[in-house]
Amino acid sequence: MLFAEKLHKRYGSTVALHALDLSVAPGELYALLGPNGAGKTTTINCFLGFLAPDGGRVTIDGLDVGQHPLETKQRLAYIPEQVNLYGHFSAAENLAYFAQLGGHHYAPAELRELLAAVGLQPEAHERRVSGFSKGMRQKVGIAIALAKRAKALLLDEPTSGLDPSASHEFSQLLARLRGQGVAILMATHDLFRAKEDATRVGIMRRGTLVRELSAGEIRGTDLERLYLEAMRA
Amino acid sequence: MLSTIMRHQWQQALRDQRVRWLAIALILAGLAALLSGLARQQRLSAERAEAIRADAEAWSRQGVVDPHGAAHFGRTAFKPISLLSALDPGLLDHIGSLVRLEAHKQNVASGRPSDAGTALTAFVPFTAASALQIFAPVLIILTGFGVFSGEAARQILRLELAAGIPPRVLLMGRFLALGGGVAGVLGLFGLAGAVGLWLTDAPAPDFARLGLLLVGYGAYLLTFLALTLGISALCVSARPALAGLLAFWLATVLLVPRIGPSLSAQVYPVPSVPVFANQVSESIDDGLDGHDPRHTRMDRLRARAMAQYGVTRIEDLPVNFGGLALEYGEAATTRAYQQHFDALFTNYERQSRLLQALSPLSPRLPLQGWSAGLAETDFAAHRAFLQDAEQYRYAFVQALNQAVVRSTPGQPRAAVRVADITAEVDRAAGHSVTLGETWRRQWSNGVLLLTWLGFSVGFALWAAGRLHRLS
Amino acid sequence: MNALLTVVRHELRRLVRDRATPVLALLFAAICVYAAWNGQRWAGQRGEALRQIGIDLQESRDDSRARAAAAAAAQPGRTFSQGSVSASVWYQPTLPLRPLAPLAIGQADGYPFDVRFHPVSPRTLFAPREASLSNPAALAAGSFDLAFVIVYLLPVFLLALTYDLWIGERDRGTARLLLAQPVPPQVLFAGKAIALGGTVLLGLAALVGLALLTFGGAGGVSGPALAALGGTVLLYGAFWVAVALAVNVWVRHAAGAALACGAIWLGVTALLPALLTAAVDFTHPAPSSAAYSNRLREVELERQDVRRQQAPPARSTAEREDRNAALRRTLTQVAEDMAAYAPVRDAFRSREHARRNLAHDLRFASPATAVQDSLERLAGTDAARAVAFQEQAWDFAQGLRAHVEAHLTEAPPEDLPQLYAGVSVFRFTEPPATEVREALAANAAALLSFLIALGTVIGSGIQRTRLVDEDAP
Repeated sequence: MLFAEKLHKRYGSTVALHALDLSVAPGELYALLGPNGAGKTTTINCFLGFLAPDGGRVTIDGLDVGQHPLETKQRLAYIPEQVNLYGHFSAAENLAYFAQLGGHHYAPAELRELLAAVGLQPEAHERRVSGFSKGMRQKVGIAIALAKRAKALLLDEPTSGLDPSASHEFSQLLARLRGQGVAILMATHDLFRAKEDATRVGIMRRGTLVRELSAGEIRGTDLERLYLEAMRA
Repeated sequence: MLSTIMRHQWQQALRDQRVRWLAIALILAGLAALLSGLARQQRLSAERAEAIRADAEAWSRQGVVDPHGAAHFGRTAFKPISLLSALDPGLLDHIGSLVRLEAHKQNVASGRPSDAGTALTAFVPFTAASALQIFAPVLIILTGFGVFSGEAARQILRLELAAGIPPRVLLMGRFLALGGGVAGVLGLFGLAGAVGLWLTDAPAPDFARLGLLLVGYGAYLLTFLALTLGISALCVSARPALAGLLAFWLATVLLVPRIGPSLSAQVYPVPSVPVFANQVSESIDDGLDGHDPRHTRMDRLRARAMAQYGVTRIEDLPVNFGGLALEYGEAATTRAYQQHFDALFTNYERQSRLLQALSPLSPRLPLQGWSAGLAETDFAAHRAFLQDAEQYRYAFVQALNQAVVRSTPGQPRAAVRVADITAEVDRAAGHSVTLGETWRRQWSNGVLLLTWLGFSVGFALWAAGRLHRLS
Repeated sequence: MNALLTVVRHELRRLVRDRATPVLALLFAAICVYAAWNGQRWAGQRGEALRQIGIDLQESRDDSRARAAAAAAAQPGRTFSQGSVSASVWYQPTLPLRPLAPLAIGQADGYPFDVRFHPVSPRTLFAPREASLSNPAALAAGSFDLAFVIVYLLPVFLLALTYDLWIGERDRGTARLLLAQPVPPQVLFAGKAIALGGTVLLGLAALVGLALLTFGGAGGVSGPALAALGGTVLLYGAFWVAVALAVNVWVRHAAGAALACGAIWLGVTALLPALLTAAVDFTHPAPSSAAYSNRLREVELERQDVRRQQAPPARSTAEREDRNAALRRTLTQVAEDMAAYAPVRDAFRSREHARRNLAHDLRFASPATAVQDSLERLAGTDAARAVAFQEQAWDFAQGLRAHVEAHLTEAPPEDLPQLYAGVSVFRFTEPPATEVREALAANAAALLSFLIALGTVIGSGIQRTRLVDEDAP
């Protein structure tokens, strides 16, 4: 579903991505680990079409991102690290707007269902999001992603700043989406969540994938040790 | 400690590309405007000198003519252009540059440079004064709005406060550093102005005027600097600080100085040209109080003249009665004109006092008065010119009328060499607003400017006191 | 299309919910009302002055008629001619106001709106005249009319509401989420431009129009004139919305955007016009009115000399009785005088003309000056109309002498009322509508080319620049 081949990206003289090969199949959750500046967000930006790669190819569902920007975005949902919304609008209004831009019109009851599904308290649905905590905004962000009924999901540090129980709820949600055949690419620092949720893990350093672990490998190993080894190598 | 902060702030301001280029552009444009203003002043002065010569020549070329006819032919007074008008042309574009001086009539000055313009005339010309009054405050705002506000500035502030530097010292250090920049820019203008004055052999008071003028601009610009730093200290994020300061600039520098005069013209309206002319001619025909028509005045004059010379018939008068009538009529019309012009100019005065009363809304109002007053391009300077011109007009017309009085009674008026008669009449120098007079008119604007400065510095210090709480 | 509508709807709701919107709208409305009222007050005063001139002129004609009747009563057998009556009264052509005058005071204070003369001494036609006794401080400050509001303040309010149209999304952090949707950025920008720019602009323009019609007393304005005004305001507003869009494409931070918008506003409305004025002054300085006044006096002296040298013709008895012969002689003399003054006047006016033409051509360099020109033309307070008035008054004075000479048939005193009624009346002929239309169209074309240029900048910018901040190094 998500596919990157020999991806290159430079910022001036700094190499951000170097010959990156990556693929995420439907129903898979690929966790991208790595320190700040390893190229995780750059990878996500390439999938979103925010950055044009200097070399290589990025495709979604077989479509080249550069050539089919709208079609690929149609198949893609995205939750940024900080979900920022329109403060003067309620959760439901924000959700409705982004869903409409994604081409989906929902009835008010459906919007409420979506918000409830991500665990947002019913009394918050019609409240302006300017008073929302980070966790609550994150939930609206997830609802926006769900509402798009996308085949692929890009997550950029989705659990940073979430309390443990919210983080747990989020994991369950991801599992459900995976069950529906959604391909998920998640950039994260959270080794614990990666180990819990991912079907595959990639460790990045200075723009290259230095280590890839399959589901089986993750279960049996000390991910933290592997990570630190990869950083030292 | 203070000097460390000042030095640091200086380095920061100089390293800011945006500010550096804007400052250079402003200084260059302002100096160019000053130079072109000086060139214009020189051109207009040369034109004026030539016009005075041509007028005198035409006057004496009349030769031997009927003195009253010569009084109708009249002369022209040309307004002197002060050297400092190069810095601030003030009202120069909107007041007449010459007055026709003739019998029976006190004319309005004509030949306004703004006459016969196009849509371009509706826009403010770029002068050294407008560079300093309008554009320099923007530059100060751009330089200073981020001194304390904005994420990065707040981070540094936290470190500085943690180092134990009192917030007021932090603010004063920055105020002095950027204020030094303001002084430097004004110094450049002062230097350029002084060189200009020196090259044109200006009298000593003009240098004093230049100095006072720059002090006014200094107070004005430092007011903006203190307000900018104060707002910057109050606003945690840079965006509202900039928006608020730009809104303040728009209101005080552009809107109030534009609405103010139009508002005061509504409170104290002035008549239109034909209405004014009508009022004057009514006063002339019916007497100043409206109950003394021209023919009864003439009857009185006749009776008085006959009584004075002890005769019973006009024909027996030893002097030309026609001349006496002209002399008397001239005095009467002059009184009528004087009364109406005084009323008109009193209304202007009232308007400008009302405008001054709006000074708490905009520091630019007192500055405009101060600047144009010192540059002798305000209405007071123009009125002084008009008074000189009128004095001369009255004197030469009456001297010519005296020639008629002396001519043979009962005969047609004899022709005389008019230039000889008027040679005796003093022609006032024209440049008659002394520094003392200007000071008497302008000290209140000076006080207003200093009040603005005091208020804004106080505000900035108060705002600095809150830095502890907000950082 | 659906996406565009979604964006437009969303932006409109945001605009409505923004607390700054009603404050700005109210402020703008108040300013419009004051400006319209101020313009109306000015037009009222000017109208009153014109009325006063009419009354005074009629009074002076009535006096003249009464004197003629008295002369006829004192001298039985005295006759009159249309020519002699026409030659004995004052004339005072005036420039009437147009219905949209309250819109822009324009150049009305810089040109005479009346000229008073006598057919046998029309020298006053040359005299420079003050058009107003307004306080020069008020003139120097500039008029606070709707034209000022449109040219200067409309952009400020537009920019205040649109300067962060996209950068706001960046700062808020919604930009990434928005661009992750299958909607081209052009649609997002267009939606915002339509919703914010379009609606705000329409709203502000409506406020201007409303203020003009209700407080400006411009009730009798023709539909086409209002349409032209509306078109001008909308086109100018569109230029500023395009400025905001361009800034939002190329600038990355809100403070930078505010700065850029402010700088462009200052440049277009203040710096550029000032530079153009300086250019005109440099290449075509205003002709010296002092020198002009002196040249006229020199000619006057020359004419006096000429008349003194021409020994007064010995008058035969028959001629002495023929007032018409004397009148003819005077007319000839006046014609010679005028012919002698004409070159001086023409030289002065041609320099004024050259200066004005250059300034007129340069107005295209800034949208603000082009719009000011359009507004003045719509208001009828433009230079071209004032100059046309001067030319027509001049021609009228010339024609008057021919009229007097051609109508010297004697008539009895009983005909005096008809003779006075037959005195020529000056009527200002408005410059041809096509002339005004062409000027308006030229200004509109200038605005449109600015708009197209900005459109190109925006179009290429959307494609080339990054519309989101990448978090990577």
